[in-house]
Amino acid sequence: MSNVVEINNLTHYYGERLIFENLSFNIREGSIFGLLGKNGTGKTTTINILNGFLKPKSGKCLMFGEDSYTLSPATKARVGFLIEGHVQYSFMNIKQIEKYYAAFYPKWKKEAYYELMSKLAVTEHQKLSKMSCGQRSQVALGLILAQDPDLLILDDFSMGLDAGYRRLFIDYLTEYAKAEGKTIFITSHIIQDLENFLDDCIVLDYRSVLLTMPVKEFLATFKQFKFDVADPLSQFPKDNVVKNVEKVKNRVSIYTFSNLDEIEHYLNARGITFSALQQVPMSLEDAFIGLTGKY
Amino acid sequence: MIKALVMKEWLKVRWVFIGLVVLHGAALLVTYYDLLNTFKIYKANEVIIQFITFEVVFYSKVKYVSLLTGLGIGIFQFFPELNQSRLKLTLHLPVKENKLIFQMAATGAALLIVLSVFDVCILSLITLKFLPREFFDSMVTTTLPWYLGSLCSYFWVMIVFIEPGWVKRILMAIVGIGIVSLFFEGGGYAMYAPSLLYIGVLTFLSGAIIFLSAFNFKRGIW
Repeated sequence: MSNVVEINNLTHYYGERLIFENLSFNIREGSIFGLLGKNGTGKTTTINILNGFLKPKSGKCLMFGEDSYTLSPATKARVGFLIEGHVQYSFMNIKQIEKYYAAFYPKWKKEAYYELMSKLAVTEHQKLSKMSCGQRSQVALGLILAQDPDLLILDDFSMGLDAGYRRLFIDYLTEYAKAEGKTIFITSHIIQDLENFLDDCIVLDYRSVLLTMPVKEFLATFKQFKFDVADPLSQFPKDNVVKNVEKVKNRVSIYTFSNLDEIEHYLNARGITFSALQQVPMSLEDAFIGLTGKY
Repeated sequence: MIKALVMKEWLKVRWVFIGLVVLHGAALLVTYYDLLNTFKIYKANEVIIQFITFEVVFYSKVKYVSLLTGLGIGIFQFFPELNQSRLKLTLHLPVKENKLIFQMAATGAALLIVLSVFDVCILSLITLKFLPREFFDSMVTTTLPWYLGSLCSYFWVMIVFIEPGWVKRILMAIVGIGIVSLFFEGGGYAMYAPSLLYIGVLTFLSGAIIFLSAFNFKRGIW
């Protein structure tokens, strides 16, 4: 399977401030790829570079084999882009905006857009500016589905949406992507929505990449162990075993890619007296917070 | 494709355009009635001598209405693009970016030209009704700098709005104000006649700078 997106050694600064250095990842054709990270880790910057709205300081970013900064119109037609906050032309109404975009895309599927619109309590002549945030998100999604792109880039689709609209958005996308074999590149600040949706993910930290792997593998291999320590002053510096640690008095949580035996061995080797060691099941959100930390 | 882009631009500016048509109409109506009253009160030869001697441009109201037109169309057309970086939506369309920018600018410029031609036609009728042919001849060369200034102010609003960085945006605004003010300085008939070519070139160059701002927007130079 070929790669739709190839990012190699991407480095970007805003002025003197380093956003990320040597960022590299590929997005497989037909996969759903999540870019996860806290606010300010460079998610939108990556998306802007990918869409050609920012020239990186160094590194390569290819989309369908073309340099993302100089995408040809034919390649742009293959990419559906949802701007953070579902930004669209709010001065247009439901009908006008469909008619507008239809003129640019040869594979335009009007029915896909109107099918989604029929689920909303809106009229054809209702302006986007008079709609709720949730309704606007469905308009933006409907337009992307009608465009029928091969790659969908969705920047923080969950922004401003309540749980119902977030679920609707994901359900629609899942059905569409699986049925049509589309590639999706998505970011969201609400990780729990993406748990059963993503195939692969990359987790960004400030200035670096923490992890790149399939979500199933991440959830299977990344673990949380809780235990009590006799000495509340015991230290657990981050290393090859301990990826993150949380401590409340003598209760310790360690996040790690190691298994139970290895953790026991690790604690014994450091002479730490511990009890009640147990593995705690984690959701994707728990694992994300465990890896990136709460602060 | 072009029709769709024109429709989008029109939706943004239609109300301000209609308002400007009313404003231009009102300015021309006031100009007409001023002239009518002047000719009722004074003898024709006295009025003409007065106009020539003191260089009284009887249609000077059009001057500031033209400036307002360029600024108004520019602001209403490009504020929505600046707001939430909507310009990205346009530049993501499967069309060459410079072509999209050109078509946006051309739509606004076309509306300005429509209003300018409307002004010139009505002013011609007013001038020919009350004054000798020479006034009509000088009217085009007197008003042309204002209409070019209107176009130039429109271009500079576009430049300032598209420019991504605030520092550059402020600098561009200062440069723009300086350049546009050149078109509206002084009074008198056909004052700019010897320099029409230069102000024409200045307008063209201002239009070309739009592409530099669009380049900066795309490159993300903050």
